[in-house]
Amino acid sequence: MKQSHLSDDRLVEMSLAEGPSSAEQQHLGACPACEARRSGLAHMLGEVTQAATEDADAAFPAERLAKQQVRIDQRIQQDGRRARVISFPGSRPTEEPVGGIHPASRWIAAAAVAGLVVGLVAGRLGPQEPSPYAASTQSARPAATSGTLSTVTAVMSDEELLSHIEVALDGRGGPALRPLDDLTPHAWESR
Amino acid sequence: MMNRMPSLLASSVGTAATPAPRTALSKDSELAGAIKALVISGDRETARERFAELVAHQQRRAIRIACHYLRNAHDADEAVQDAFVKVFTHITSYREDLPFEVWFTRVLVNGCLDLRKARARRLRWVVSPSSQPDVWPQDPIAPDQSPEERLVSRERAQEIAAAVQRLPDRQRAVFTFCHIAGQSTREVSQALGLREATVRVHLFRAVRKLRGLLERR
Repeated sequence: MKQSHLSDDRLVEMSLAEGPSSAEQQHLGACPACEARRSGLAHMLGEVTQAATEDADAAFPAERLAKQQVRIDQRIQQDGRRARVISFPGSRPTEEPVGGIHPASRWIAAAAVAGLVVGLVAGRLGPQEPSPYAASTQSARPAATSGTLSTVTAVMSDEELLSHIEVALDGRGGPALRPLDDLTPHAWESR
Repeated sequence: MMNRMPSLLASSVGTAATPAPRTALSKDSELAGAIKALVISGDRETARERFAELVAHQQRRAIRIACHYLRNAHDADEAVQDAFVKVFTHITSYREDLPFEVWFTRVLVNGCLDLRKARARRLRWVVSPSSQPDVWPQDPIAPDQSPEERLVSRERAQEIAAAVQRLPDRQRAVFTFCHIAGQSTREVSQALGLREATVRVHLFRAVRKLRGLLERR
């Protein structure tokens, strides 16, 4: 008696763990059509597995795996070690006076303040010469641009300028940066 | 689609009606148990040396799984390193009644999915939505092939990967674990918290669907 052809579902089941029974094995030996379907399915599954594995195997030859092992070991070692604390700015924090300020730092602070005051006074009282940068900007730019520059500097106070900077930093986009762009030189102008 | 996998992995364990019967533990599971004992006893250095053996046994399989999920060699490298480091760091929470391979695979797959999410976020910021590609960016993964061979094998691999991606979540997970990670249906049932018979059904449906998708082309 001739056994009927194996169903597609049965072929799929056979391709998984269990495999064919002895009767099915006999049928596959005698029926080229079922055998061709079975081998086609096995080939497809092999292709899927191969596609998934061969790229990975090609990308990770033995040398790369060895390097990865070393890296994993290093990371595990680092995880187990206590974090190294780097002292900053160099002196030990335990030597710092707890209650007050070190005398040397007082002198440094006083000198810095004095320098700042002198700088400010000299800047206000000194001759107001145009800077070379301003001269080059004015000479390079056409009249309309220099007009914009003077208008912006005349009208905009420091507070406004700072608020424009804040707006720009908030990320509201390009238009907010235009006043700043007008105030600052471009690379091609300073040549 | 893939983003639902972590919840599937995380929540489904322990919720299945019948857990899979306990199997004899593999050598790697015994090794993991020994490493856990060493860490608990405070001998971290010996534990680290023994862990290198475990890494060598599991590394190739881990790389294949990570490459399958991430389609990028650098990301796969990072995911595998992270998974091994994480497993060693948390080795004291390893349950010896479960195969080590199952536990490690879950850690690895969850890491891969996190990395994919992070990469998607990064791409959203760097690349405009209109120019964002539909597939994940790939490395030139096999540089020794000729351009024609690379093109043909790349196209076929993309067809296969696309077909696998079209499988429903559970079918894809089961298929990946069985055919790419090389795990038995029993191990997959433990990893996913499903009955072994259910795993077989998912696997059967996955193969049937893949055959339909790939033979049609």
